[in-house]
Amino acid sequence: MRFNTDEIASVLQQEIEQFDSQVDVREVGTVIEIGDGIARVYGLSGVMSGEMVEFPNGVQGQAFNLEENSVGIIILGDYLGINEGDEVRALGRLLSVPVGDAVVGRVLDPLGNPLDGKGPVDASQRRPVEVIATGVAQRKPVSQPLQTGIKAVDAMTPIGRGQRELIIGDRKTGKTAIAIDAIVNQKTSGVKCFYVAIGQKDSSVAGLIAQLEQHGAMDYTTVIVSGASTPAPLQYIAPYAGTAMAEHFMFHGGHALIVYDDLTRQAQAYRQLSLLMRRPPGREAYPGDVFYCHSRLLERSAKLSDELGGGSLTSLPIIETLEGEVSAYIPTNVISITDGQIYLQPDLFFAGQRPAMNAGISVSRVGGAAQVKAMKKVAGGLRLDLAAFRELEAFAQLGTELDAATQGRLDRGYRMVELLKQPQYQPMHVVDQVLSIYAGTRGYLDQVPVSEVRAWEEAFLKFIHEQRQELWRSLDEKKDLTNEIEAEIKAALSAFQAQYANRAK
Amino acid sequence: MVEHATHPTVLDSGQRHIGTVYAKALLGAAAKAGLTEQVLAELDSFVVDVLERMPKLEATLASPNVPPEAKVRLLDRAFADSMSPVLLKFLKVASKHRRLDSLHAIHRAVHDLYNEATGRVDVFVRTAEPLTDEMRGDLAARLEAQLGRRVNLRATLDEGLIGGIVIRVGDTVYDGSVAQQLRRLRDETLDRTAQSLSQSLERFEANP
Repeated sequence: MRFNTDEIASVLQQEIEQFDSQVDVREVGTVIEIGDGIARVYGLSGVMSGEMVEFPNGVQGQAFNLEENSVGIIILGDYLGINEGDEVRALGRLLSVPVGDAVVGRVLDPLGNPLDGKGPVDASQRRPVEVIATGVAQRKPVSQPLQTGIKAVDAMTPIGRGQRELIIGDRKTGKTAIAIDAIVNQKTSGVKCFYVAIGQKDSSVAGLIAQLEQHGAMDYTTVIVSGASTPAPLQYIAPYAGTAMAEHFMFHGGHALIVYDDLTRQAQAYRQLSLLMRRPPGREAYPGDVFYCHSRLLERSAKLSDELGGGSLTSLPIIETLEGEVSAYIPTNVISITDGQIYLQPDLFFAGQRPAMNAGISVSRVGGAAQVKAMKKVAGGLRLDLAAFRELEAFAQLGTELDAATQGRLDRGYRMVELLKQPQYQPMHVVDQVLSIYAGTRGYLDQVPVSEVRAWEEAFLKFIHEQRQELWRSLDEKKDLTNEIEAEIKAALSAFQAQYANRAK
Repeated sequence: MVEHATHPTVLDSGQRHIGTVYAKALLGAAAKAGLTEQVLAELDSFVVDVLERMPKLEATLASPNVPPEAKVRLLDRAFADSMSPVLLKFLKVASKHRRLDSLHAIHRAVHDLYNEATGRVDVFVRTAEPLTDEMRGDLAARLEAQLGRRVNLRATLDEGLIGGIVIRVGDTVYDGSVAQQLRRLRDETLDRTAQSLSQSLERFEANP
């Protein structure tokens, strides 16, 4: 395409004609100390807490500490170009990020600047990064399910729209994988997804974006990246910026899902800032308000009342533990804030159980309210059964003689564990999940060798999709296990068992 | 001997605090003696004509290696005849408290406090061209009307402004310079043009 320079010139001329000269009135101060992402400024006597300021090289900052003789500024950008004695100007506004459809499908930094080379973010609206969460009257109990597509999660720790479900575990236990699968599964649900990467290696974030693209998830996902090499202030504000973008959809009646990966890093960035600002250190050297740092963030996830459009924001915060230590400071804080947690264990992970979810201590405090009826009927008690199985298994390892009933429970347990294994990037439809788990909990797998369970499941679902489409469709429609449907499932199962036995021979 | 690194941009908030405390004491003592104006003028002259011209003297007075008694003797010998007793006594007290390194901060604080007490305000003006006396008078009169206080006009030349004027009162800057307007014009024009480009690209297409 060739450009018409006259047209461009006319636009410029119009702008110049409409430009009205104004005296620019600003509050200013002088940098007296600079380094490590923070600046101490003399002056700025009228600046407000959280107000944005600008340095001569165009980098922005935020007033963080107001002291008697100086103001502590966190610098949101490259602080190496700022010198002692530079003039700092207050901008008279709060930090905000672009919001709306323009940010969907983009990779942004915490200030809303594009990182994906796809041109500027053409958003007409902005939203303040720090807002107070909606109050009690504006909310409604969580009632709609948010399907993650992961059998173990949807069956045992169901997540509702508006819930905060913590994913916690050691390094390399598949925490991010659960969150990414949940995002991939929102392809047809209309839920907008936000993935906030805090303090991660840029290479792993790039790999993750490539995976999301490959599975078509970038069409409805925004990735906010504040990598390990970015200054602590940006890592600190990244979750709030992502939440502001997600909230926009919630307040417009839509549904959004946000993943904070991970909040441990954010707490560490906040600790760094606070110590540099000479705020008194507390337990594990975190500042006293690190709890508030997380609670005010997670409290912004909500299910709005019908008057406000009934939108929702679901969050999946991730916390990394050290050697399974869940009673450390940050893990206990976030566990107490969220509505449940999915606990991932390295020994289960290495034993091949993926997702490596520990059924005993993983809970969802919203629970059944956020589950489709059919799943509730099928999976009720599954979590406790599995937990009991783990205990029994440990006991059985002692080599004691077991009675038939105990042996039966053990066998059932081995098969359920096998059934709940699921590869990455293969989320399952909730109807498929219901059918699989029905077969498992009702004992249809008891005669199948453990090593064949996954092949059996695959064949069974294929059989349903090919030969019992009616059943699948009516279950999808009603989402309930009525007597007729249950009878049909039973019939389908016995028909399939016969086919499977024949084929095996 | 370690040399003191002095840098015009260094702003030590701790020193400023000390300066304010000593400045209050000096102003109080001067007011009691009824010599405020005289002491102020002498302090100005001491800082500008003596300390700034004789960096070695300043270094000696500020040095922690020189015992306070020696500093007192030095002050007595040099200024006993020419300085008013209030200021001399003040310098001796400051010397005994080992605060002679804060003299610049004290000097600045004395001026700030005196301005505040007498309803004066320092106004820093930057212009691209030198101000004529007429302009100065006019500007001061208008600022006084605007601020409701008497104005100490401190004008500096800054050719980078291209034209117009930048006025600083306290922490507030009124920027009416041509440079600032050009900057703003560039930002706004870039923004709007980029916006109209992204909204309707075909409008800018050249007809073949």
